[in-house]
Amino acid sequence: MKSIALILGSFLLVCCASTPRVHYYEFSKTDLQKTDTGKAGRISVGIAKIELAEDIDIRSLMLEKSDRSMHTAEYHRWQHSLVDSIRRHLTTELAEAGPEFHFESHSATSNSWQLTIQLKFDAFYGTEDGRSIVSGFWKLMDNESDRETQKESFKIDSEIQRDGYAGLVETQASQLTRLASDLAEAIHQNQAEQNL
Amino acid sequence: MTPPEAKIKPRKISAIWFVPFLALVVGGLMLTNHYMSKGPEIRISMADAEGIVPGKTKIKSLSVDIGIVQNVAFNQDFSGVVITALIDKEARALLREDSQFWAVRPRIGASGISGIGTLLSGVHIELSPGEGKPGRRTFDGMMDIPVTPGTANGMRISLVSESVGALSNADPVLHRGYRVGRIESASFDMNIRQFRYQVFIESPYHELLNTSIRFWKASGITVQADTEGLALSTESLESVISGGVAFDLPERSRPGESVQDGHEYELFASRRDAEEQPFTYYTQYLLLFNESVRGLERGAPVEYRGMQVGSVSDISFEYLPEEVTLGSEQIPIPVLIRLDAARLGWEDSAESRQLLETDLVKRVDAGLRGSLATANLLTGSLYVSFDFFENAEPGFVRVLGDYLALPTISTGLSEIEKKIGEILTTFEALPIEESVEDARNAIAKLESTLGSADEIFEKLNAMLNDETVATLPSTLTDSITQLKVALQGFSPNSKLYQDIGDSIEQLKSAIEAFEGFAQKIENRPSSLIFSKPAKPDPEPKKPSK
Repeated sequence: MKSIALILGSFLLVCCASTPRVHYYEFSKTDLQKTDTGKAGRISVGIAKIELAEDIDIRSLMLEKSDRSMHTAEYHRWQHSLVDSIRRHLTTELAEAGPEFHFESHSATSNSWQLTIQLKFDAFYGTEDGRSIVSGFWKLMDNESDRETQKESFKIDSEIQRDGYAGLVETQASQLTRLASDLAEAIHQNQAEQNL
Repeated sequence: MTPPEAKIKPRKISAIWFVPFLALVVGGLMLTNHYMSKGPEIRISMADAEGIVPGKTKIKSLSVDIGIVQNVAFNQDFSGVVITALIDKEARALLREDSQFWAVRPRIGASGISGIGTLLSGVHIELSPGEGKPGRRTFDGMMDIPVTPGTANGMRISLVSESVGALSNADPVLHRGYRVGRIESASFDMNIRQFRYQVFIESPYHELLNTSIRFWKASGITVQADTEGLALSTESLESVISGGVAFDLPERSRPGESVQDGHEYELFASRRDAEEQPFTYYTQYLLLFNESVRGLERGAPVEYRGMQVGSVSDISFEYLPEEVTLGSEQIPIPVLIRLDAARLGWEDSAESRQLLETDLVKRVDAGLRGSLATANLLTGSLYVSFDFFENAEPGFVRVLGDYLALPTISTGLSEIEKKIGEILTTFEALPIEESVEDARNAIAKLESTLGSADEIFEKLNAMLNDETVATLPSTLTDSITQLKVALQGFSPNSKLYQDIGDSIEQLKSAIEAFEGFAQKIENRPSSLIFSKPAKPDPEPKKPSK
């Protein structure tokens, strides 16, 4: 009996020992509060709604294999939900790209926002041959007139800078930074037109 | 022997013959004296001998007896009588070529009452001595007093008219209300269907006459109503009662040339008509229109860019030659117009008329065309308008029958008239009566509703005055405040809202994890006990340069 228990225990230990370790990823560690200097005297811009296509709205990272099939990683997962991760990183990057604006981010629209950004991502995945695909569209809403001032689609296709999922996540973070830069430019342009 | 010479003793006339000789001489002297002392015997022809009695009816002049009627007999054809009268020797000089005789009877007429004295004395024959050569013995007597004394100074003229009747002998001729002459005779010419009046204008007023003068019938009272009010005018009281004729120089005219005895004037129906044709020299043209002339009347103005230059004389197919009537697809409507040269500011003379005719030929070449225009949309009255049309088809002045024809152009008046007619038809078809009835019913219902509303307001007023209701606003305010506080807990920025969001997210993650687990069990149930050898995820590789 004792010998049976030892065999089973050894078997279980072998099984557990052979299972790969799960990796969790986050775009950045930047604390949003440190970049925000308060909203006094600045135009308030909210990132209200970030939608993800159904196939990417999962905790696992996605990889397109060479046979065009999509692989959902079992051992490479997002630290938080992808929506939260994107929202957090975009807000940080927008604050740096447009310091004259005060950016807030939560899923519900606030009456204090003068402008609202809505985003939808259709693709957010890497490829086995070392590319990162981020695509979708964004809308800029003027809350005072309750009208859509601008709507643009985007597709950012970049090469990853190092092998592995960590390299993919770094590339995706830089793609989001580029998207934030485009959004900040659109907000600037909108305000310039308003001042005319 | 020579027979003795017989001595014949001359026969002596008996003294007895002296008596008849003397008688003869005396008789001759008496006869000569008789004839020498007797006045002339005259014959007067009259229509009848009413009131005239031989041996009693006297011949008078200026109420002085100058003769007596001796005999009354029928004339040869029994159509009248011949009165033989003996005129006193002293009145012989009154019998002249232009002497006038008329019977004086009691007379009551528009011009007054005369001959009252003859009611008692009987009819007498009045002699109006003339100024002609003496010696006339037969005369045409008149049944009534002559309108104009034979010795009167003045001028005789004629008035002709196609429509103005109801004027009689002795009717007055007025100038600005003052009597300056009389109508001497009135007649109607059956052949040309014209009234003709002989008029005597007394001196010195006959000097007022010239070619620019216009005559019109002055009878009755003229009432004119316009935007400035009601205007009533008459020529004179006499003309109101008996009628008459008036003349004057039209306002826009200048005096024309002098006229001679017997000059013929046109008699207009009214002063207004006379004023519309104030000029003597005019020229007439034919206009042919290929559209309806309904609303265009005789006398309608002919205008050039709003200024009157003439008038419509007539509208009749009689002016259309047969070749035009038969030779064209559409039979045009001929309109005869008159153009007055003096209306262009020229002298009212024959030379101006000639100049106008010559000038019109050039103007037509330059595009002058006649057209119909609407004077009044409500009445549909039309007038003829002349203007220059640059894009008009080529046209020229041509002879058409007895007149010259000017080219015309259609202005689409008939189309406008047609559309207005359609609008009026549509308007007429509107169910106005039904709508009014519906509106009436609606008003009745509204009145009923307002009555009910009054009751509701009274009840509402009573309810609002209730103390319980008076405290309702403060209660509602409190409730809303509490509700606001409660809802703040559920706002997006509230902790509860964030907690609920986090919980939902965690639940979603758990479900996803469970989905993976369930999928795994479904694919390999033994994995609950025997795990599959771990297979690492495919790794993305950095592209090789």
